[in-house]
Amino acid sequence: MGGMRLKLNLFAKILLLVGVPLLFELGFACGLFVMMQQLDAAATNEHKAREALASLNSIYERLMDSSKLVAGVFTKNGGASISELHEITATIPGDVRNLRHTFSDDADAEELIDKLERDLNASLRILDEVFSQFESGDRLGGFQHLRDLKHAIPDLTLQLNDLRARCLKDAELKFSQQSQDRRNIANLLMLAIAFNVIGAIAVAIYAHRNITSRLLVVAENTRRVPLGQPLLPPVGGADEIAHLDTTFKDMAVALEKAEAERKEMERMKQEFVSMISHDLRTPLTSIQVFVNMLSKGLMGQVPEPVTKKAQMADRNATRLIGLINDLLDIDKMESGQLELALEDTSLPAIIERSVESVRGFAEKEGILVEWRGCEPITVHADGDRIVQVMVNLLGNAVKFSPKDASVRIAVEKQGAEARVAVIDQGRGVPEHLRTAIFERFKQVSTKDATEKKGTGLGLAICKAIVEQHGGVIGCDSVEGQGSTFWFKLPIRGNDAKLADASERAKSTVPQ
Amino acid sequence: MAKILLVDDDEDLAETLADLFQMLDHEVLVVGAGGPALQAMITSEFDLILLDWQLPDMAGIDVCKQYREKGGKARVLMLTGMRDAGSKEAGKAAGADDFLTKPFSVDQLTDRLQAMLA
Repeated sequence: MGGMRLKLNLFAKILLLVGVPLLFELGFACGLFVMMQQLDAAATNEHKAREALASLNSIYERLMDSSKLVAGVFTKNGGASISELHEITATIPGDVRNLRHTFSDDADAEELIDKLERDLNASLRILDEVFSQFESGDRLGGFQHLRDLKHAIPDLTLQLNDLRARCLKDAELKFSQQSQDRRNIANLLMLAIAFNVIGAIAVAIYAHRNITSRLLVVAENTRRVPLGQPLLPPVGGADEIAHLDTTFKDMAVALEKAEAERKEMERMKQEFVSMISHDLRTPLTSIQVFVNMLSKGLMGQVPEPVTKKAQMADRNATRLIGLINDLLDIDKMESGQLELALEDTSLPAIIERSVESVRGFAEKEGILVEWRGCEPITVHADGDRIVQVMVNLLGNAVKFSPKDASVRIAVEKQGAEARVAVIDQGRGVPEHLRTAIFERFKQVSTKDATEKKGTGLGLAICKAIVEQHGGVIGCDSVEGQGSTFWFKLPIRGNDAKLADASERAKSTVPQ
Repeated sequence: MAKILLVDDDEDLAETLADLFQMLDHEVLVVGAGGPALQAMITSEFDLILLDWQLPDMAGIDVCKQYREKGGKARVLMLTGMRDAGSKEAGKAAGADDFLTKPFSVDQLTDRLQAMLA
C-alpha cells in the first residue's frame, strides 16, 4: 500500500470492507443463475430431441405396420379393413407436428420435414387407394398402386433415418453441452470458495493494517505519555484514527509544555527562595547584633526608655528571624530538599545544647527546665536539626506552662530507638487535635498565633525533621493537666551495640 | 584580647561587628573581599578569622582553602546564609573550624568566640 493508500475515512473503509465482498457475492449469484438457466435450456432441448426421436420411431413403425397390413391383404386375401389402416396411421400427423415443433429453429430440418410430410401423405393416399380398390374387388388396380408404394417406402425410410441421425446428433450435442454447463458451475463454485477464502484473509489484513494496528499505535502512545517516553511516528492516512493520533499528539505536546512551564516556575521559586535566604540574612544580622548590643548596654549608657524600646526591637527581630527560618525550612521540606548532616552524635549533648538555648527564655517566663541527664546514647543524626526540634518543643512547653511550673525532659532507650519526651504541666492538647497540631498552621487555639507569638509551623518542621531521620513524633496529653511531646530516633544497629558496650564499661552516669 | 580578621563585603554588618569586637576588647581588622583577606593573612598573624560564605571576588571556602594550603593555622569561623548540610561539609573539607548561620545574635556569636578562643 504505502503511497498508493487511498485517503479514506473510517466510515468509507468500513463501507469498503462490507461492500466489496457483498458486490462479489451478488455477481457470483447472477453468474450462477445464468448458468443454471443455460443448463435448464440444454436439458429441455435434449428432451425435445428425444421426443422427436420417439416420433420418428413411431412414424417408422406405423409405416411398417401399414405396409404389413397391405401385404397381408394380398397374401391372406382379406381380413383387414380400411378402418384398421386408418387406426394405424391416425397418429402420424401428430408425430409430424411434433417433429416440426422440435426443429422449429432449424430451417434445413424443416425443409426435410416438409418433404417427409408430402411423401408420407402421398404414400398414405396410395395405401388408401389400394385398400379401397381391393374392397371394391379391383385387385389388379390395387396391385398396380402397390408397386408405386414399393418405391415410396424405402425413400421414406431413408428420410426418416436421415432425420433420426440429425435428432441423435442434436441430443448428443445438448447432452455434452449440459455436462459442460455442469462443469462450469462446479468451476464457478470452486472459484467462489477460493475467492471467499482469499477475500476473508484480505479483509482481515486490510482491517488490521488500516484499523487495528493503527489503533494500537494510538493506545501505545497513551501508555507512553505518562511515562515521558518518546511517541511513535504518525499513523498516517486521513481517517478518524489519524485525526485521533494527531489530536492526541497535540495534547501530549501541550502537556509537555505545561510540565516545562511548571518546572520553570519551580526553578524561579527556588531561585527566589535562595535569594531571600541569602540577601535577607546579612541585613537582619546587622539589625539583630545592633539591637542586642543596645539592649545589653554594650553601646554605653542609654536612658531607660531607650533600653526598653531596644529590648522590644530585640524580641521582634528574634521573632522575625524565627519566622523567616521556619518559612524557609517548610519550603525546603515541601520540595524535599531537607538535607541532613548525619553523624554519630551524643544524644545527651544535643539535649544539653537545647536546654542551654532555651534557658534564658524559660527563666524570663519563670519556668524551670528540669534535665537530670541520662545514660550515654549515641544516635546517628544531624545534631543541629535535633537541637532545632528540641528547642521548638521546649519553647512550646515553656510558652504554655503556668507560672512557676516546670518542664521535664525524659530520655530512655526503647529497643533500637531512643525516646525523648518533653513533659509540661500546661493546658494539654484536646484529643481530636493530637495529630492535627503537627500539620502546618494548626494550633490548639486561634488566639495562639497572636498571644503566644507562634507561626504554627514549628511542629510541622519538627515532624519533618524527625521523619527524615526515620523516626516518629507524637503527643500524649491529659487535658488540663499537661502534655507530653515525644519523638523517637533510631539508634543504628552497630552503633547501638557499641553504645551498649561503652555503657556497661561506665559504671556511673555523669550528670 | 584576641586579634580577629573579619572578612565580609557588607559594610554595615562589618562595622557593627567591628564595634562589638572592640567593645569586647578584641583587636579587629576588617576587609571586604577574598583577595585583600589573603593579603592580610600573609602580612599578619590572627587568632580568629571570620569569613563570609559569599565574597564579591571569590567564595569564602576558597579563601579558607588557600589560607590552609599556605599553612595558615588560625581558627576559621564561616558565616553562612544557608543552613543546609551540603555546604557545611564543603566548608569542613576546605578547613573551616565552625559555622555560624546568619542571622545570629550577640549571645550566639560571643558563645562561639569564647569556645574558639579558649
